[in-house]
Amino acid sequence: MDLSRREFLKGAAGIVLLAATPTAAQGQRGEGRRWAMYVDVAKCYGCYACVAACAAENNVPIGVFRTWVERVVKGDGTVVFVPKQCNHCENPPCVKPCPTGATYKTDDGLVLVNDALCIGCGACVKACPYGARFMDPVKGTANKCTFCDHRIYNGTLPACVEACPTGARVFGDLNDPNSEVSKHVRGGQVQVWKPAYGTGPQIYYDGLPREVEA
Amino acid sequence: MTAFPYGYVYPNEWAEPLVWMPVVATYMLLISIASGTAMVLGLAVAFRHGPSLRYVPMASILAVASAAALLLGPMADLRHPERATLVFTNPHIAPNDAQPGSSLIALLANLWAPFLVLIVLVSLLALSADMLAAGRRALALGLSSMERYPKYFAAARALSVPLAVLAFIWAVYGGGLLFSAEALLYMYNVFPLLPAVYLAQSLAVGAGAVILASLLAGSPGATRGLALALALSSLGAAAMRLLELFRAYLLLGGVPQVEALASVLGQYIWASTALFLAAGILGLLNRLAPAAGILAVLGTLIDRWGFFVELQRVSKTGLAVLGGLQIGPVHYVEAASILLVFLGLSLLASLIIPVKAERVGGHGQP
Repeated sequence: MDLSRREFLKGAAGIVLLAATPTAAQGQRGEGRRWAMYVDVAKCYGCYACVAACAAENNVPIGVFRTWVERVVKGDGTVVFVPKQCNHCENPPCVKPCPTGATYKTDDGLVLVNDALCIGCGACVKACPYGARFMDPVKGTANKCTFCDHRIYNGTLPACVEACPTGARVFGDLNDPNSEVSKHVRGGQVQVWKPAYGTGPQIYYDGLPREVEA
Repeated sequence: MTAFPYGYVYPNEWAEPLVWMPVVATYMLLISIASGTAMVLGLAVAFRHGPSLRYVPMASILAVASAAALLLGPMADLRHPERATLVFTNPHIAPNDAQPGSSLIALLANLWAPFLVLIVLVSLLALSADMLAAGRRALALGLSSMERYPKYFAAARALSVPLAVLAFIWAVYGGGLLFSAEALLYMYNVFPLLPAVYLAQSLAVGAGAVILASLLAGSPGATRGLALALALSSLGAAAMRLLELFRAYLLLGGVPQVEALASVLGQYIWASTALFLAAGILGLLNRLAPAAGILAVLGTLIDRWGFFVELQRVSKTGLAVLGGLQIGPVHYVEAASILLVFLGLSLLASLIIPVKAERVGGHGQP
């Protein structure tokens, strides 16, 4: 096959552009989305696959957690497992005390940390009422769940959601009325963690025990 | 790693219960000394109160030294001190969509330089006549004759007002920080007067430090005015704290979250309150004012240790107390080091600033 240099360069540029441009399914940041998660507590049986998947995916140091599962003995003696992580709050208390703006909110509701700006003062760790942040013992910066932002814009689910064997975790765009998470949140009786703090959590639970709600 | 406590804690706080190291407690004490002595300096100059003007040199020395050493505290506690300049170049003060709210840490860090500059300017302007008399013309800010001194003192008085305002902001900073960067929602309810208590404690520490340092420098005993300021601010701090405790006992007694808080903070609060009560009573007796000063400094240190170090043992669940905080000798040395820097700078400043200035405010012979 004879290819002129011009045709070869055109083809190569096309391939590069195709690879770099996300497909419609992948989407981009913003675009009117509101990322959220729905957790059906009744479906979680405490296998900790999400914890392991998160640690492996995000290189989380040993001893600290971006997500964890709490075993709760309810008042009636029954046991349930409650997965927890950063709530990517609508009104995040961790963003406000950050002196350099290293912690920020994206247009689509993610609460993230810019490592390059983090001075390691720990104010955000102290301000988070959920214990979802920690000082990374390796990097010396604040660390937390990102909803796997390196995956969700590439069309894949957060590692914890993908690893869950029972589908207890459902992730998606709350602003899309046809998304699974939207149907669950708008259609059912959902609870959030520590509502009294007024943080507007974006992790919605079904069956959150009263013992851990506050 | 400590043993897992009885109760309900989140795993990340168990992994690292001590986010703020003990140096933060001594940093907060240093803030109280800086803001308290700056208030004494600012108010003495602003009101040109004759008897208090003799404390201007000592208040200047202590305020300059403590304000200069101030930022060593957070620098020692940062995980990335090499990035500390980002607080000045990229401060989160104006809120926007991506970064709602405003950081008190950034705001105060950016108020540090104006605070220090105002302390230096007010000190040098008020002491320019004594600097000239002592032959330190370079520090007399161009004052060539005593006749021009009233203009210099008038400038010092004008600048002492913003200095007092900045000192006031620094004095309440610790209380505000606990409200804005502390996840314990009920803190607001148990200690609603925290910033006001910190203001009163800072004023007591400032007055006490000036009286103590004057005694060490061989100056005469405390004036009635400064001793009274120490006594009243100490009694005010103790009274506000007792009022908070009484209110918490009536309204929140028996609430599990508050019980966890009380089990950790109780001993520190009672010790600090008792010391401030004693300081208040001793301060009413002029001759015992230096002892009152020591008690006020001790009371403030104990209070800051309780609120900024020990309080971290209370789980964010409010339903457990974490075990030992793994504080080693190196942490105590680090905490003490910034106070030693302050003392060293004070000695250095006392070599430059005439300790027994007699011409401040136009008093004494030119």
